[in-house]
Amino acid sequence: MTGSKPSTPGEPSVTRALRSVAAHGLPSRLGPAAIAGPAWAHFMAMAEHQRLQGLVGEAIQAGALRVSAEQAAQARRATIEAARQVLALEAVLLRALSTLGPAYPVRLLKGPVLARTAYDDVSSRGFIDIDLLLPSTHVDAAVTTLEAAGWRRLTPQLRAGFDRRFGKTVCLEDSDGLQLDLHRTLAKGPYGLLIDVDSLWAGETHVSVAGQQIPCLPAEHHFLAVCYHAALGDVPPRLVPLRDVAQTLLHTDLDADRIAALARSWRGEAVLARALTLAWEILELEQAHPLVEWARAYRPGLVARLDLLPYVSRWRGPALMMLGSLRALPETRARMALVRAMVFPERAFLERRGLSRLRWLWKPSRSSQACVPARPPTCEAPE
Amino acid sequence: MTGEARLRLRPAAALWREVHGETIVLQLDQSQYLGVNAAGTVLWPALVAGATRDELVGRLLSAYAIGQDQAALDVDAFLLACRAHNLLEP
Repeated sequence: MTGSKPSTPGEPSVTRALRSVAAHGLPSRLGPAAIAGPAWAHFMAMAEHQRLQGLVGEAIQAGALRVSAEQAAQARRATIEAARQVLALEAVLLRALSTLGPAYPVRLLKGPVLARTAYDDVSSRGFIDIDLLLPSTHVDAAVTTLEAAGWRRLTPQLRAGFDRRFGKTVCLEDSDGLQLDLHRTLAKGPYGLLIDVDSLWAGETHVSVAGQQIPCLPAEHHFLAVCYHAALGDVPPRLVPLRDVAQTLLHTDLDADRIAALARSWRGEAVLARALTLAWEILELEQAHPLVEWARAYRPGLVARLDLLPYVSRWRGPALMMLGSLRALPETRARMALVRAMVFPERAFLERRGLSRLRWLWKPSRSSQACVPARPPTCEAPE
Repeated sequence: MTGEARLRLRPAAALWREVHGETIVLQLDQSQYLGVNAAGTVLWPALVAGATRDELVGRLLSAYAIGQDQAALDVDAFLLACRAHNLLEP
């Protein structure tokens, strides 16, 4: 990093500092940052919300985030606490795998994989849950098996069969409140349905956790999974998923042609382009990469713009997600089943969420706490 | 403890992260967090890879301005603590 750069006009210093921390160690135009006393508590709360504690500690040690000695000590305590949580979650992973046993094929996703494969220091990348991909055919049985072992499902199924046919994730937690997400595909809504989920099982790599070789997606599939999470996960996007995109692209050995072909086959070129351009813009990255050049030149057609709408529109919510999903489903029977599930969810599902049917369908998605420069209409002031 | 026997962490014994020059360990049998200080963190990667006692003493000597005897005592005490927490291979 070179010299300090002023905030984007109107950008709060906290947001600017968070972006700087998220880009720490990457070739970014964002320079060192400083946090004045009154903003410190807000900064730390946002850093936790953004899962940036590991990078905050590194940035302070490297002098890229200028803080007082007391603030440095607070950040250190937060980093240690985040590390303890990560270890507890990895123990959850081992316990879940032991409970499921070899009958369940799995692929580990996101945090624990990225920490070991993309980041120089495994402690840089924190996470707050464990994500496991399972074949659609195994999701229901896996939930039953884990529930029998004491895990608790956080939200009832929309309707019987929804999880394995249309769902993205089933969230469970253990008795300590640690969360395990079972994924069937990599995104909710149309983009999740457009992914050829069988192709996710065509190969595997491994990471070692406590001496166990845990299967993960092949590198290019994993990179696309990272892009889907960054581009479709939150509005505005969280900083760590954007950092993951850049970190993985710049620090791992990837076949760009294979990534592009895979994205095409999933009708996900717009997702890939959005993830790359967001990462490079928000983290103000300087390093060129052929895929980033491609992303900058990419112009989504009408179909791609419609596919993206349920994720980025200010009106995004279940209704828009359903309409988008209908376009992604080729069979009429599947479309009817999806509409039935979305319009007539089971009572337990609505009760758990405290929603009426109408309120459920038209409930707008919550925006995440804004940590990127304000870009109306999708950014909100921090709550 | 002889200087030649290879000492190694049991891979399934623990999860750990190095944070700010120290190592936080989650011992899996007991679900117990352990703190490994800076000196222990000098030894930890060698124990993960496998090392003799003499090699561990050598690492400590390289990192700190202490004498051979003190380093040997410190390594033995650290290994004893690791064994007490069932972290090492038999």
